[in-house]
Amino acid sequence: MGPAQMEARPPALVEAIVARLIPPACREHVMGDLRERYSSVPAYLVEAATVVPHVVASRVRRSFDGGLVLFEYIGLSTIFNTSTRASAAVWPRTTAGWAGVPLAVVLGVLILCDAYVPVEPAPVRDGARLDALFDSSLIRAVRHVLLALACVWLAEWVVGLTVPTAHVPAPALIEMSGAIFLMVGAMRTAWWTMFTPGSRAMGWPVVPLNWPAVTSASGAKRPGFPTWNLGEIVWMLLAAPLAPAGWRGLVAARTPAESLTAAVILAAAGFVIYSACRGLVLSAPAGSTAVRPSSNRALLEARLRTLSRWPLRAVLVVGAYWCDAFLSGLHGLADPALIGALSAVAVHVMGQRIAKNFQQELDTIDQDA
Amino acid sequence: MPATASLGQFEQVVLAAILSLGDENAYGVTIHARVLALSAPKHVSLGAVYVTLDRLEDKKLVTSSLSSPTAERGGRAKRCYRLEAAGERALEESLDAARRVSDAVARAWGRRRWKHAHQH
Repeated sequence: MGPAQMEARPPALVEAIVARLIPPACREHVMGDLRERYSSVPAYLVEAATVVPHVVASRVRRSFDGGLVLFEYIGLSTIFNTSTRASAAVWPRTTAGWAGVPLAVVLGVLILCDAYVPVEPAPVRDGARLDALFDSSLIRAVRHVLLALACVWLAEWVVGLTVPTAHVPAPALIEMSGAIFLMVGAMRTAWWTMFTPGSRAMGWPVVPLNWPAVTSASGAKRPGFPTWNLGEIVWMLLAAPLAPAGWRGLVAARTPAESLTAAVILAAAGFVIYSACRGLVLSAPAGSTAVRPSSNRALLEARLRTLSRWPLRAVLVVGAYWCDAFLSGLHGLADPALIGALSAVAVHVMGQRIAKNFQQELDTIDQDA
Repeated sequence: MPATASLGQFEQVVLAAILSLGDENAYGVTIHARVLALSAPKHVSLGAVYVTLDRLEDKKLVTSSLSSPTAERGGRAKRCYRLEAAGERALEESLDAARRVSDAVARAWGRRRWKHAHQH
């Protein structure tokens, strides 16, 4: 191979653009292979154009998490249902099906974002509350949701240009965006916390509510600063939108059945928010090695006991959302029956995942012992 | 004995390419070149090879590791693939099945040609 051939390399800008399009998990070797086969810029571009869709599709297949997407679908359906109902006066029911556009865009962008997550774990930082709060899983979740929302606004702008009567009204879109940001952002952060395999865990804690009892049982020390429990925050965020919805339903109720349904929504939201607030007070610190549950069987068992209460809250939140959707009637993709069925599956999936994770951690502890 | 993973036709070709290249030299570019040779005259894209390698890795038929970076690759590492015992077993079973199909076809064709020759 002559020196001229040795020098042959794609322009830096072209290479940088192609590198950005390839998911980080396979960027190193794919870029190396493309560089090794480089002969000319057009050939390089053609090769990159055929390789990129393949590697992205393969990463999507590998990173796709059906449980998370199911949860997100349920949350988004409910958000769209509530937001479009609020603007029913300016948005005819016949066009309600167009609410599916933002839903599909959000889900599609989030699935694609997952494919671009690096496989290397983020460094686990111990002790400091701020470090823990701004750990990469939270930042990543916020970044992904913001990107998805930007794409939703762009898609709605395009829909507005092509079918002017069909795009979601601006007030509803603003309400949707705020709710999606809170709900999906929190949901993704908590999901990665709970279901990331041990070696890749981000260091987020799943904190026991009965913290004082746990510390006395395990001998672990409680650091001197209060720290939030992300799992509890998620439940609170899921329940918070229900409170005004229940109140609105109670005020506007015309029949006893509607009043009862609205009262059930309010009660469920109140219970979940109350229990989540208790969790905030009794939380354990985030990211502290002293309370890393996998390092201590007593802590792990306490965590399991705490999580065993989750299904009750999940059923309450989901049931309340179902009632809310029932009050509003059928609304495009937010068909209450569909939401109910999916919610049941989602709670089951979550329960199974939690049980599997804990069993794995307990097995590891037993092996170490 | 654990059940062997079933292989698609293209997966067989990729596994055969890795097997013939050996552990040290089986990475994206060389595997693609060998796959092209094995499946000629059909053209196969590099992207299709990556997708199949990922799938084979998920099935635990091959494993991969990054080698040290080289200058001709712009300082980037190769991902070298290695055929696992399960992969060899799967490939062997696929070959056995292909051989049985081949024998059956040859027998059927042989009988038909024999009949054809006697009729004329």
